[in-house]
Amino acid sequence: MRSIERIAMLLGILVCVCGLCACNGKKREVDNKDKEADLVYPAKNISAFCTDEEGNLYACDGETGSLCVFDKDGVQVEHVNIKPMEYHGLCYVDGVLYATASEFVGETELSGMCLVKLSMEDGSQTVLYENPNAWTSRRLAYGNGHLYFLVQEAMDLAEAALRSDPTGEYYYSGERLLGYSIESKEVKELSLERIVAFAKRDDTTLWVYAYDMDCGKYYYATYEPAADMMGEKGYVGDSANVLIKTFAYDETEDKLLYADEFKSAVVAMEPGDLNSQSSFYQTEAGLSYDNELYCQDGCSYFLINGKVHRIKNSNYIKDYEPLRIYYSSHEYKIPEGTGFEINMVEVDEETMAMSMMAGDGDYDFLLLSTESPVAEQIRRVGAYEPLNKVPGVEKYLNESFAFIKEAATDDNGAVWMLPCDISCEVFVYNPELCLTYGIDFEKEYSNEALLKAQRVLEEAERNGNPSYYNYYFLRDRYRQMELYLADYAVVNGNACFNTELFRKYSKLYLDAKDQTGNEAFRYAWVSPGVPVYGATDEEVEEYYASYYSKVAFASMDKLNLALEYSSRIGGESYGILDYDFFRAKAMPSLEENKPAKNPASAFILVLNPKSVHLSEAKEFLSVLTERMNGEESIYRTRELEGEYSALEQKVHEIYSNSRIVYSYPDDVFWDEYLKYLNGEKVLDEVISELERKLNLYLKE
Amino acid sequence: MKKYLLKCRLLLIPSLLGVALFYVLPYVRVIYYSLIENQFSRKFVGLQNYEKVLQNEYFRLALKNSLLLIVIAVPVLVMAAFLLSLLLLKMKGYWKLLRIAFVFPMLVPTASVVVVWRTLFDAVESVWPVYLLFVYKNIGLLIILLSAAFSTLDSEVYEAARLDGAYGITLHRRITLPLISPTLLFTVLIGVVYSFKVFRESYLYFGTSYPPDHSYTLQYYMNNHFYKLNYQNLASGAVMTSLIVAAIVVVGVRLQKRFTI
Repeated sequence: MRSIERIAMLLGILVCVCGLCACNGKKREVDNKDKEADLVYPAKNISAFCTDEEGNLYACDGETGSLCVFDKDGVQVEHVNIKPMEYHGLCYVDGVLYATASEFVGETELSGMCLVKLSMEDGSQTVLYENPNAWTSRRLAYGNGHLYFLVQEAMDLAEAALRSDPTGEYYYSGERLLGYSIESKEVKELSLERIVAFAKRDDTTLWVYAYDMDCGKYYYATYEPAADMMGEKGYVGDSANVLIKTFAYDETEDKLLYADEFKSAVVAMEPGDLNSQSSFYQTEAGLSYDNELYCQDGCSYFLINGKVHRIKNSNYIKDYEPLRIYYSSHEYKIPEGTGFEINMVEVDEETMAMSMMAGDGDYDFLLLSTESPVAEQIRRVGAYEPLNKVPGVEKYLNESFAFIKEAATDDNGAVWMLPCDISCEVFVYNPELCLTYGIDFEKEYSNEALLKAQRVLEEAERNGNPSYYNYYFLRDRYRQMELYLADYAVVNGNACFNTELFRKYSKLYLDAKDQTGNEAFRYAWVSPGVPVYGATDEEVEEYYASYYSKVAFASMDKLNLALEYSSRIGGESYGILDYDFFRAKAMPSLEENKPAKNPASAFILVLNPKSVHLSEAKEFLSVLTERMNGEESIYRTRELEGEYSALEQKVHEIYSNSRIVYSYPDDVFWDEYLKYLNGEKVLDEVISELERKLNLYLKE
Repeated sequence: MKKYLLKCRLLLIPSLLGVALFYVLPYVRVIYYSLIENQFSRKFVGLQNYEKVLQNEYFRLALKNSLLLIVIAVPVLVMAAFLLSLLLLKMKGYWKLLRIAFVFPMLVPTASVVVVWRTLFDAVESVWPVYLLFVYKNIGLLIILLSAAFSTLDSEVYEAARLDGAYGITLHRRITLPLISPTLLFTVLIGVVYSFKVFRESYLYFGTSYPPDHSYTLQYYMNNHFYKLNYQNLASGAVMTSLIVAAIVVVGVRLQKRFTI
């Protein structure tokens, strides 16, 4: 090859490489400043709403028979009295308001449905269509001279079963999509099978969400009613989409938005790639009816607990490439509504270590628990991108407990991780109930005392005098041994298990097994469950009060305190923290005369310094900390500003006096120790083996 | 001739590229890792990591155990393979099929063998089960190599030796051994290299990354540092291990050249 040709070839390669480097993924500057578009309209008890071309909002309160009109700044400009009905859908077309509604029959029942035209002058209505057999009707949309609405009719169960999927993925409930022609005043059923929801795309096209029986999946597709033509079906693989009841189309952003009821979040997805999803806005409650999410002119409107909220989508939807988070066996639910598409990938520790060693840029974050031995290693070797300069992180740490900030900062002052969730065990008890069993934790409170109390209640249960309790000494061994490993197991750099303290607890564990010799947890904890359907508010309160009054004591981590043993009905919570006859204490230390800080664990996010999306990842952290900073929590926030009960304040105090404790690998301690607990080895043998292994681990 | 040599070289290129990409470059990278402070700061620290590793008592323990494995288990393996190959050589008829049986250990999954080993040697608290496992798993390959070497021996040499009055052990000492010495040395080298691969068997046998001191070898040292994300200790240990193996191979090859007839 001649030299001139060689030079030309090299130049060509260089140009191609430069061109490829320029195509490094889409990024759009996000204008975060137009938050003035966000507002909550002042009307309450709204059941249906819509907007017109100028951004005015029309909202119906069917109970009081009230129709209000708000301008785009949220100021009410008009009010009309209308017939009290249950209004389901509202639609504004060329100066005329249309609605789908049902009549009230008694206090809670509705009869049939109808499509009406509402007069803005005197609130009178003209019935255009009615169906006495349909018990709900949903979103109302206009296009091409027609009003489209979904009706759900009562039907024969056998026929419904025939049209349903026998696998249970889809159950047909008589949904049909109807189109009412404003000109001819005729109603026509559109030939769409198994439709679940629909939304307007433009004047001639709808988006439909339906079920495909042939392949057993839900799909989205465009549909032109005039031509009766359906576009290509886009199947959604994620089973979470099965729960969709409401979605909308944002023409400005070219995104399909749907409300995830369980995440209480609105998710945006690409019409061309339905698996590319990002949860961009967290709503106060889940949206569960398909007239509750609506889009127009780049804004989303949500109907939550009777109030209409509006946000500007471009403030929240991030058009970045997805961020990938590697997590090991512990999965923490990243808060919704950050606007980023997050791919959670479960990997084992070997893959995690390999990725770090290789300087893999494929992942952006590691999500770990501090209980994972890898967590501390990451800090030690510096396998992280410092977060000090990420906006919001310093504020987040300063507003968190001091020990959280200390744990997140390495010896050089670099913030190596973002702790997202802190948890430690708290002991809660009902002093009066305990006294009836002769248990007084004010007088005697230690690990041995807890074991004694457990035995007392076990005996009481056998004698027909049970109470609920959720503390098991054998289960508590994990916490106790973590304490031992943290504070006693290493002396002057050497492993130390041949101590009275260790032997004492080891003996206690063997004694704590029940009479049959098996390590059986007595199930004396019964979940509160839910009251009978239709119970009044007073009956619900009484139900839970009665349940919790039987709870003697329990050791609980944050999840249990906050969620598992509480129930939410109508926005009210009924958990242990809601009853002031409980008291809280920190779990006892190993030695009574040597109080020790509670061991806590945390889920942490570590930013990969080799991430190819470093700036987007930092922006994600910034948004995340902003979200978390906005939520005061007794489990994290240093200075509480809200009002809290004495019990909640005590829990806050206990949490503030904790510390992050890292764990050793199981095969250093637990694998061997369990041999002793299972009776396979004697204690002396196990002690010498534990010391050998821990020395090896520490010094190799 | 030149064209022929050029063709040969060109045909080697794909193979060499593969070797370079999957062996040489990673090895160079490992050496690089062993000379820096960590993957992220990339600060050059010279031989500090090697110093730290050599001063570590557990590295020295691992090194000692690995060398003991070579010094004890490899000769046992080679001798057993040699004697069995000789025995198989003398077998006639259907007994010849017995040589197939010695290949089975290579085919049986290690995990299955370990289950049996644990049952057999449950009460044994020494390193011998691991040595025996090593011998058991690798004897088949060495028997194949040595049997192949025996089959190339010229019977006329033996006849001549017998005419000169050589029998039994003398025959094997003066004729067989020198003639198969290249293969024998090769099997010793194979044994040494394979002794560094016995980690999987040992790990499955003990079921932990922290086995008894007598079985803690270099591979455990490196594996544990991998999980501790201490890549510098891992890399330093790996480079030193490779140098040891290289030294043994070099010495072995020199001996082979010296004793080849």
